[in-house]
Amino acid sequence: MQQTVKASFPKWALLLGILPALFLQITMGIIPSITTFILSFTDISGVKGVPWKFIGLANYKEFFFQQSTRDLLAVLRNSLVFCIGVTVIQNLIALFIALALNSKLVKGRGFYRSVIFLPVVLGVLVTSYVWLNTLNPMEGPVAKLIGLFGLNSGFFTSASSALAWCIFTQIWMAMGYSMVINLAGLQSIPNELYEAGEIDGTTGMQKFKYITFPLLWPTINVNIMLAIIGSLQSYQVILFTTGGRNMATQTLSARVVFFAFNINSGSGAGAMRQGYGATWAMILFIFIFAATLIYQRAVKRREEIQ
Amino acid sequence: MSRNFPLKVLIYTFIAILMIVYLFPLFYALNTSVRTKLDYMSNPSGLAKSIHLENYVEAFKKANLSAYVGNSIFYMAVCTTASILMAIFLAFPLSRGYLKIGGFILGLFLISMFLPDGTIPQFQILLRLGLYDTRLGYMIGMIGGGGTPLLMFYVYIKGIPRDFDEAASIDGCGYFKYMFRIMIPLMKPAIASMTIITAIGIWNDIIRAIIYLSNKKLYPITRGLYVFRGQYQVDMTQQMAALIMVAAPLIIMYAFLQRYIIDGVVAGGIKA
Repeated sequence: MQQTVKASFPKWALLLGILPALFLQITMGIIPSITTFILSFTDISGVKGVPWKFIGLANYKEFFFQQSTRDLLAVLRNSLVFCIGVTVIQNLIALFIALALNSKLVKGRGFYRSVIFLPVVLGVLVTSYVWLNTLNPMEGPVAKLIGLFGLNSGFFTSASSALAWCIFTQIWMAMGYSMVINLAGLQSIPNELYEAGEIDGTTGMQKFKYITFPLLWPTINVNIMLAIIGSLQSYQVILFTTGGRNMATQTLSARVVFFAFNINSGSGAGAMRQGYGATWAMILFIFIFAATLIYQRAVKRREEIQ
Repeated sequence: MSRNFPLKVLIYTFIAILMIVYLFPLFYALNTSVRTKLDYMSNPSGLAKSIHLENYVEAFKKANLSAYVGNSIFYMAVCTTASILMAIFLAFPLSRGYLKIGGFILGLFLISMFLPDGTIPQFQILLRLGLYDTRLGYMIGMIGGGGTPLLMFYVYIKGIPRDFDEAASIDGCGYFKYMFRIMIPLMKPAIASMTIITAIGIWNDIIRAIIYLSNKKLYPITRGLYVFRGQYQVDMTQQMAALIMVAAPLIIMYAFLQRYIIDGVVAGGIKA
């Protein structure tokens, strides 16, 4: 934090300028976040005029003991698989893409970069529908292609492969972010280091191991953290592709909107139970907290070993 | 032919695969959208035999896009303008260090990433204020001075000398006049970048549109596309036509402004 300097303008004017943003941040940001915790102990519904009360730990009891253990385990497993799948695959490919598009051997880099970034601009609804169309199990192009090898798949409609295709679609959509951040990181590595390395006779692989990777690591680390948090919070691709028809693609964040807003299901079982939804949101919060903590610990331990 | 040749082949193969994975689905959506239903049903993965624009006309009517496009433009204009102005007036005193509580205020904006999701209480607040299913209620959660614009402006303003502030105040120029006449014009590149990113985010919103709006007169364009799927599930050709119409403004804008967009994302990524 920097020191306070003498303002050139009256304080009241500066504060007046801040006020609208501050007011919205407190009323629409911070207070709701904290209130999620409080609502998780109530049976509040999303329908106006319905009476509600505090019910102690009943929501948490329902979460752990009264719902089907098989469903709960499926949700936790799906969240974990979705998070690890997205984080690992997206960051690995984004690293390769950034290295390829930063290489002077490649012509037309700007065009490739634009294409890979395009889905970020198109947004989640367009992305989901584009892939629903392409992965049409009834003689869609990909179905035909794998049919040539004697394979077939229900894609988003099959319980065994739906989650994998959700992970794929999520990565397709968000790859541009990771790529662009990696490219910015690569471009900030001073050229002199590579020149010095060349004088010392480093090979291509050594260059990557001793110059590129260590200097890019802080950037990759940011990307990984963003992917862990983002993938655990994100349910939109799942919502718009599989629609949560069965438990195969349900994750913690998808369940939050399922219970609270009843938008992730064909059946009416969600019923705007926002107190119970808030409980799921708190469990998700703890899950994210734990995941980032475990990741940070692992990174620290690795750095200590080296 | 050099020792780099095998590496080059490898890299270009990798890029070629990526380009197919990224461009084919979009091309296929376009292809689907110009086929007749019969042609599509007989062979979904085939090429369009001839170009039919009837799907576009039909989809435009069924998804009610002519009504929704106006809503989307309205939401985008209001939310983007308000958010960018708020972020500018927030970032300036914080970046300059003019306020003792500046650090605390910045903290209030950065901490939300580490707090539980507040969607449900936010809905309760707006519901109880009678703002459910209103334009204001839909927009209010999308307006804010925080996030990427705050961080980008915070850094950008540091690069603008404080001498300007002093000179203006000595000349008796008021704060708000100074901001609009001098500061905002100096921040143009950063503002351009953040305006586009914020606007795209609002144009693409669908979750808030599902949660907060039930009156069809208030729907943004994405909600038109969403309704389409539920109602006309079997007709892929019309759905893809609607999709192309929703995506086209974005793609055209992207083609011209991508440099600004990508700069903005980099600023957002580096913050963390």
